[in-house]
Amino acid sequence: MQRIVLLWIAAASLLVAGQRPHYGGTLRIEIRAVVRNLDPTDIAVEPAEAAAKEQLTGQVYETLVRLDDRGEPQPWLATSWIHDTARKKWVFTARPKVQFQNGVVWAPPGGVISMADDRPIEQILRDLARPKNAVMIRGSDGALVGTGPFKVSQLEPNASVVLAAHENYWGGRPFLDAIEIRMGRPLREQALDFEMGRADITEIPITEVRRARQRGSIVLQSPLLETLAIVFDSTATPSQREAVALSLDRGALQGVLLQKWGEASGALAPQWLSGYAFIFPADRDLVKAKQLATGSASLSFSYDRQDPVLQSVAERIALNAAEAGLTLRNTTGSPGLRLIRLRVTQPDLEWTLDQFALALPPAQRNGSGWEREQALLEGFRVIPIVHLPASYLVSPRVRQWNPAVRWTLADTWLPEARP
Amino acid sequence: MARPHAQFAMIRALIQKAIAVLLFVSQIVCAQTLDETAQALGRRVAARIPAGTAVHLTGRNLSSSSNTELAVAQRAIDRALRRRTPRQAPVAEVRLTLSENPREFLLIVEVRRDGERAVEMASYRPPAVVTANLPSLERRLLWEQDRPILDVLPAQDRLIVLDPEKVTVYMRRSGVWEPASTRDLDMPGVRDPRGRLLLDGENLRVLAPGASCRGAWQPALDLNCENQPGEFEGGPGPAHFTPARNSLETDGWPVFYAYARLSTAARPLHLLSGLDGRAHLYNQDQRPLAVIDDWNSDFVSACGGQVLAAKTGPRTGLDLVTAYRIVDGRAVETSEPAELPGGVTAMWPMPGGALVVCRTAPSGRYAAYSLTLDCSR
Repeated sequence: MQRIVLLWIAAASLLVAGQRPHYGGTLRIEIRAVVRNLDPTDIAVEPAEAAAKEQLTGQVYETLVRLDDRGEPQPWLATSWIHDTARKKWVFTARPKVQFQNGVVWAPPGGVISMADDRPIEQILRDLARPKNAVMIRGSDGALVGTGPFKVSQLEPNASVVLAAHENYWGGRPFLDAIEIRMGRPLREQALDFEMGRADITEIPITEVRRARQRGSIVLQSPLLETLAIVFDSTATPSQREAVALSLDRGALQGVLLQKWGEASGALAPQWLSGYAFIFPADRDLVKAKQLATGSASLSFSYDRQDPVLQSVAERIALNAAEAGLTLRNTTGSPGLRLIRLRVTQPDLEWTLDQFALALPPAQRNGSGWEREQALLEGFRVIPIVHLPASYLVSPRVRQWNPAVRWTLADTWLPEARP
Repeated sequence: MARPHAQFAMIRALIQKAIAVLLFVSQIVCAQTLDETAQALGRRVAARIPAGTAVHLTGRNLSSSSNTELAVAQRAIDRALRRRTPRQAPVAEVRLTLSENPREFLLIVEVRRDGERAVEMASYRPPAVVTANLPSLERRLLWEQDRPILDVLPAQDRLIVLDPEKVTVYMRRSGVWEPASTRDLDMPGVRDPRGRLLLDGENLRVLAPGASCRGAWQPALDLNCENQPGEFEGGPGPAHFTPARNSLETDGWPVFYAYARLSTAARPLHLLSGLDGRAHLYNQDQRPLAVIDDWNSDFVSACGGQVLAAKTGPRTGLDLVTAYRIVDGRAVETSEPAELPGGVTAMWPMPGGALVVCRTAPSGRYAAYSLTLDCSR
């Protein structure tokens, strides 16, 4: 028993003294993606921009309903809902004491919002949870004003955004005074800024995670949110596409190149989100790939050369294809195939596939998630390769930040003001 | 225009697909129960397999659900696929996978026969689909630290925090909580330390296994401590911590971890968390009425007749706290569950709800929250 107490004291002496969450301070985040505007009704097509935009607009604008981590709709600006006896109209009760960031009180007539909609309620709720359905008004300067915990203080499109605390937020003022997000920052510059103490949260390539942890850095990772995938344009033939798909050695790519992070997969949506990802074949068949590739012309291959993970993966894909007799020429801007990152931004399969579809060749948009995903993958126009977590270097001073599917920066706090 | 070789390859690929990888996919259907879902799925799978074909059924579980669920589904599908077949009949390999996504469980059947592959899928969801919402518990972070938190007590402009080593009074200065005074404690070591802070005007009482303190908390902390268990109203009668253990005792009652008095009935009911890990419901005459199996050891009474109880959540390491009413010996949820960022380590009653301490994952820090319930609903 005495030993337990001594261990206790030893452990306690190594730890930082306890603190209540502090108010104040500015959190500095750097990301590679660029966001042109923060209008939630303007849907971004480019996957990285769409993902970054959803994270940022989620801090500023709110919807009547929000999806929780399991993708279940939960009350947000609407506290409850009820339908009329004919089930044709739904009445949502507005949360009281909600203010827009410019001080205007949100006061729907009678404290309710009525909607004539005879779809199943779950479908209505999922629709209402989408950012484009945020509750917002235009301020006197014409800018959009929301009800979220942070307001847009400064926006330099494609470069930076500063969010300031919404003092009268219905859920309580956020702990932070402000959040500065620098956009379009290459990973090398992010790493440098983190080392120099100029950033609190930066992105880190998955291939650097182990090394960073060995150095003692704090690296936090999200669930498997990213999908690396090959997308073909119309110049590649079906046999070329299938040959590339069958030439891929996903196991070696994930097990060696990506240091066993993530999951090799032939599906677009990760297993945790869909439940059926394992159904899509991901096995290599080099013999068949060689047959399909016989006499095939070379294909041009493009990817973001600033992204070291994409670069390594692309080189391995080209090597696999060469083993099957296909030549992939690294070019930029030419037609052929592209290696891209897709990103889950909400714990909702339909939403995710909608978002993915914007960056992929057109396919049917009806049916179950499984049917839609099958349609997107039909004819090997898209070849998923691996699902990866997003990884972040996080300063020890950042508290209560979790790189979940959706960031909740209102709970994040800093123990001391930055000098 | 495609070259002849490419055209040939295209046709060959189409033929191969048609012959070798014929993938049948039917609509996902939703049914009420696992058994019903599996039966319906079994009938659809059976329709895919011609008469005279033997079936070899295997199952695997990729979900967080128990293997019992898989066995239930496998039995139902096995019944649907049962048939008379000749000794040399061709065999269809049927693999059932119990999988899940954040919203529902999936039963996925892959049928492999003569180089063909068919997939049938069905989903089921044990809890009811969202049609209305129960009241939410309001969660507010009070305190966070690396050392275990045993209890936290907001008192005017101060916050009193009890951990296994000391009592600390924090005072708010310029928006920041700063330690105003502290008192080291010499408590016997306990592997799962527990303790309570009780305020009676200017007097503060600190209770822990085998030790108690009493004294003033303001203007400065001034406590007299002794290695004697102190009594408090935390059980069906005066209760005290059992020395060197984490349980509580009240004369005439079984040893317990947590206690809730339910006062809505004409005669109050008593809910005790027993050493067997289950919650036991007693009447005033100590007659056992019911047992609740799926709660953790921590619960408190709230709003008179309700109970806030912790239980293991669906996500690993994250506990849920939910409000319940006891109806005919069964716990009926009266709030949406509040998910905590870790496992609950302490839970004490506070006005309108509970003080809940959890060890947050993955940091391992301890966080104390107030959870309050709108008692008017």
